[in-house]
Amino acid sequence: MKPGELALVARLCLMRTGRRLDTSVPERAAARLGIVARREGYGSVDDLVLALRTSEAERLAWPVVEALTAFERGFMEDPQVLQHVARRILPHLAGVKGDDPVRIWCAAAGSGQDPYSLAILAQEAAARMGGDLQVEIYASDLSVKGIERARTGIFSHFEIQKGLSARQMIDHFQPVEGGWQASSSLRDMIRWRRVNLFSDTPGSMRFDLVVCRGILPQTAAHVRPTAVVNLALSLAEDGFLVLGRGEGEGEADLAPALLALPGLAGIYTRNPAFRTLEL
Amino acid sequence: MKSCLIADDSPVVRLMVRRLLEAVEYHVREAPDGAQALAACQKDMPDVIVLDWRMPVMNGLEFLVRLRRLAGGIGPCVIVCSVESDPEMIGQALASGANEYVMKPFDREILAGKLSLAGAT
Repeated sequence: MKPGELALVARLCLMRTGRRLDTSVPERAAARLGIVARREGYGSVDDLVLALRTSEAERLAWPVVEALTAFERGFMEDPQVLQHVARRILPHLAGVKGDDPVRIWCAAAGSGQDPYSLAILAQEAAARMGGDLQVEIYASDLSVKGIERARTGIFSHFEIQKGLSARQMIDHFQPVEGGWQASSSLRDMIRWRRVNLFSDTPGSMRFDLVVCRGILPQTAAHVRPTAVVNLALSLAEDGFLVLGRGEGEGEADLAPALLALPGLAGIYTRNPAFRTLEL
Repeated sequence: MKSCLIADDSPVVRLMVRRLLEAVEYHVREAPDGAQALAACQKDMPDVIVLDWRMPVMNGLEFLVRLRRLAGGIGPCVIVCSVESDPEMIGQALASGANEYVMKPFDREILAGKLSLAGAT
């Protein structure tokens, strides 16, 4: 891709999502745009980018942005943090919630590995607790196509082997044409919707646990405070926020709204002072 | 330096796994079948065994059962690598003493991840 073309699509990502596109590897952006170009009937990436300068721009903008900002993840990424969630936070929340379900929001869910990982951990935690844990997972992503695919719960031969143990794979997935599909009990735990973290304000629902990994480091400095506030507002009063490894360290934008949990790297709660400000 | 035995009748797979493990500083030995793998373990028990299921002379699962009965045979972390993708067969490998299971074909990232899951890295 020519520098001018890369700058154009990077600007598009920034305007629509507040996210900075990593332009250090143009080949990666070109490969993703190649898929969009074929799907939309253009002969090349150059033709697609050229169309972004025409009246076709509005129709093509979101498919381009969605392709460029999609996350590639494995299952159970950052296992140490997830073990804290499974062994400490979920049992704690189950005690606090009583008969009500623990509500989890998995933001930027990508192709689904994060929410399915959480569903597996929740089922395993429930088994340890004698079934005394009800969990609802709300998964969101920017990409409609990503959500459609993730909702099927089907992962390729290669995807299914990244992050899951063999025991987890055979306990929670079955082989189907095209890969392995999550069990219906896992799929039934997860509700999907499209959310743009930077333009969609938090709804009325509050979550006991929010998992949002990979987004903040890509977020432009001028919109990061808004993103942090939106995440904090989505937390229940005693809820927890999980960020990716190292994402919150030294992050001044977090301070007004969120507090790091001592001894639990990557896990935050709402700042009580922020709660007062919200009132 | 940790040691690994690769038991697989395919020289191509042995070479691929060897390259990956040597890159993370394993001392690597190879065996083309289960019987030679067992003899290698009796001589010097490795830390990790990457084990094919379908091999001549002695297959992977027979090797695994015999390995676990040897003195010190509980120690090695065993990762079965096979084209078999039937959940029942994968469950059988785990029940026979495998620590992890990799379905062929696999890439470097998958094998490295399984080594980590099995506590071998």
